[in-house]
Amino acid sequence: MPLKAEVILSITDLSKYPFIPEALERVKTLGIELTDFTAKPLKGIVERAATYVRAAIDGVELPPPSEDIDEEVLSFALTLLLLKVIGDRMLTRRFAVAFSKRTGAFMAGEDNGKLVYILDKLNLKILKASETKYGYDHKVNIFDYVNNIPEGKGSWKLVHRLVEKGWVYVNKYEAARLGEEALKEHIENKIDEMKIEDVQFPDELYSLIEGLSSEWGRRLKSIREAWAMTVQGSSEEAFPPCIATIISNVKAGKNVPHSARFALASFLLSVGMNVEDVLSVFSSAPDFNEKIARYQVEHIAGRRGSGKKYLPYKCENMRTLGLCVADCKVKHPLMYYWMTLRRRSKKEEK
Amino acid sequence: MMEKAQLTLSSAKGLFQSYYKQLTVGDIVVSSLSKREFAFSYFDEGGMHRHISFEETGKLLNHLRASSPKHVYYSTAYYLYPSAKDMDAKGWEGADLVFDIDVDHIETDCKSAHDQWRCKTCNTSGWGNVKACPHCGGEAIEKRTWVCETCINVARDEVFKLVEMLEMDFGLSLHELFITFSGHRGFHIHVESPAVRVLNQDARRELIDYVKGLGIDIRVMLVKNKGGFKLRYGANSSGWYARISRWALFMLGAEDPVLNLRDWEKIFIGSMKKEAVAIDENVTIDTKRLIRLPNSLHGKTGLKAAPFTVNELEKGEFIEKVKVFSKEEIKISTGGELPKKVLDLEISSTSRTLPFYVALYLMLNGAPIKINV
Ligand code: SF4
Ligand SMILES: [Zn+2]
Ligand SMILES: [Zn+2]
Repeated sequence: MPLKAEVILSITDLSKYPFIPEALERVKTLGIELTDFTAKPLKGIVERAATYVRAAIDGVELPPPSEDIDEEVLSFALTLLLLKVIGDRMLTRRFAVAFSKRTGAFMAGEDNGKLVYILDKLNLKILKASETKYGYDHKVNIFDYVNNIPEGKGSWKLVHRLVEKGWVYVNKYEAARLGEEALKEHIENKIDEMKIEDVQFPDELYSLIEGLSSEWGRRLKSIREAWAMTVQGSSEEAFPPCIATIISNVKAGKNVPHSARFALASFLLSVGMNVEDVLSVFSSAPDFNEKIARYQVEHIAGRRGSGKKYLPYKCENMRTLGLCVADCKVKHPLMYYWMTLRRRSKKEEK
Repeated sequence: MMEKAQLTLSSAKGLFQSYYKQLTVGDIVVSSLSKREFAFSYFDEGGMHRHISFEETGKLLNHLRASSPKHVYYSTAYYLYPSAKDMDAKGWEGADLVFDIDVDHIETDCKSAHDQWRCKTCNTSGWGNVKACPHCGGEAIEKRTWVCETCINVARDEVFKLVEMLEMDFGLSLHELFITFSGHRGFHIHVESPAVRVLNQDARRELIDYVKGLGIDIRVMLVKNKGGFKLRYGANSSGWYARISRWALFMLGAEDPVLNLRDWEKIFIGSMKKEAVAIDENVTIDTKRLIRLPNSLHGKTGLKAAPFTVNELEKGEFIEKVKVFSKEEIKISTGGELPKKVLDLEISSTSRTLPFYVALYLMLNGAPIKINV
């Protein structure tokens, strides 16, 4: 168990980790009421919270935390409240993901003592190993490990790990990554557990919430429309037949092989969808597993692992994978797409 | 001479009743009983009665005594409202981690002595275990399976392997493992520790793969070394690395050898054959499973789902612990072939008497037998 005295989380630390109890305690002692948020001095907090929610709506990264610890902690708390009132699971998840990602980067940069302390606050049982084993200096409780495993394959897979008496050896970066997963759930649970029946919102906050709600509604609609378009007849024109086929298979709930998912995700990312949008597309599949799909799509988008962004397969590769369904006289499915779009816009010019 | 009476399925209910009458509160070993869903099926009517809950052990016991069910199940899950009809309304709060070892899923030599199949397409039948009809190739196969001491010993060895893994790798202690006879062809191992109750399905899947040695990738576990390959974590490691190293020591006399990929593959396969545990993953992955109540009777065997300690299993005490009804030899008549071996008994085709508990098992599980009492 990490000793509290051993670790001194500085004030700046608290602003990186506004979810830990010390930070939240601090806010409580300030005794701020919701109505205070409408007053000038606290406007910054409301603005920051709105920025966080908007980042989740747009599916983009969160800005760095405020240097003012109280502002950050209060904004975080207010963000959770706004999300609770908006009450959309998908949006909540998008925020949890974005926030965890920002935090994960901070955690990976902490010294061991602080990292252990923070993970402990997320109920992830982790110990500093008494001796380093094969370069691993920490061990995580095996059940916490499997509950927060980012993906069940490769070096993460439990069969491939050094497992001993209920502990799994990990390095610091892996520990931070597990913490990121745990934090996602922590945030979602926090929002779940919030009670808002008795909360009185001042008018100004209400109109903010309404604004954000309708922004999210529009965003959702455009995601769904983009998806519907790709699925319906109109796609036959712009999307190459191979991609259109995969899409209709996903839609029909067929078991689509990994290679086909890769082809589809990399294609959609290349034509301008972002990770969140692609995930919304995949989420209509019946066997959709958000955790695994997210990991894969982020990997393809270059946000994970090597950081390399993957281009869709060439026609030649598509053919060997058995995904090519026509002979379009192009070398690359993207070429088909661009050529079709160009042709179409020329038509419109005329 | 007395009039000959015959034991029928419905009179078996009376036998079950005599068992449940002497059962006490101490025999019902279900933790957090009021949070569990119970389910029953009865001798005199078909179907399963689900979504039943009891505030306390005594009330469950009363129900068992009053109705003498054929089968009794309870949920491995804990619910806020265990008797809610709609699964989503039950308020799932967690579930035990349960492993099921069943010889249905394991090849044993004795199956040709006691298991029967019949092709639904061409009506050919035979002994042993087939996936498709050898006569017409049809896959609609009806099976009647039986258990014998050989089966139980095979299942027991799997339990030992599992227990070793749960202790050495998962860090669970023996007193956290609750082992019971499944009532027919295997064992259930329940873990109720708080840390496992909250495991989601992905996490359980990962533990299943570990126990069964699934997804082991030789390229992840080996590293290049001096023109060959070596285990990434060598002789003094733990987990599957230690198992594979152990097998290398056994086969080659070296625990940390440098080998080519082909030779490593043989070591990996050998190790997995020996150490992977044959669990039925469907039971472990399901967080809303119904499972047989410990110390209740199995309606198709008349045997008790008795709890076992590892120690008792090691000593090989089995039949004595699961047998409820008497050993007294009773007269039988048969209308067809009986399995040659069930429980602890070899049955010859000329047998005209059998111990009562064996005869009852044969009758309950559908053998062509009449019991005269
Ligand atoms: S030729 Fe290329 S674009 Fe056309 S279907 Fe085959 S892979 Fe797709
Ligand atoms: Zn046949
Ligand atoms: Zn047998």
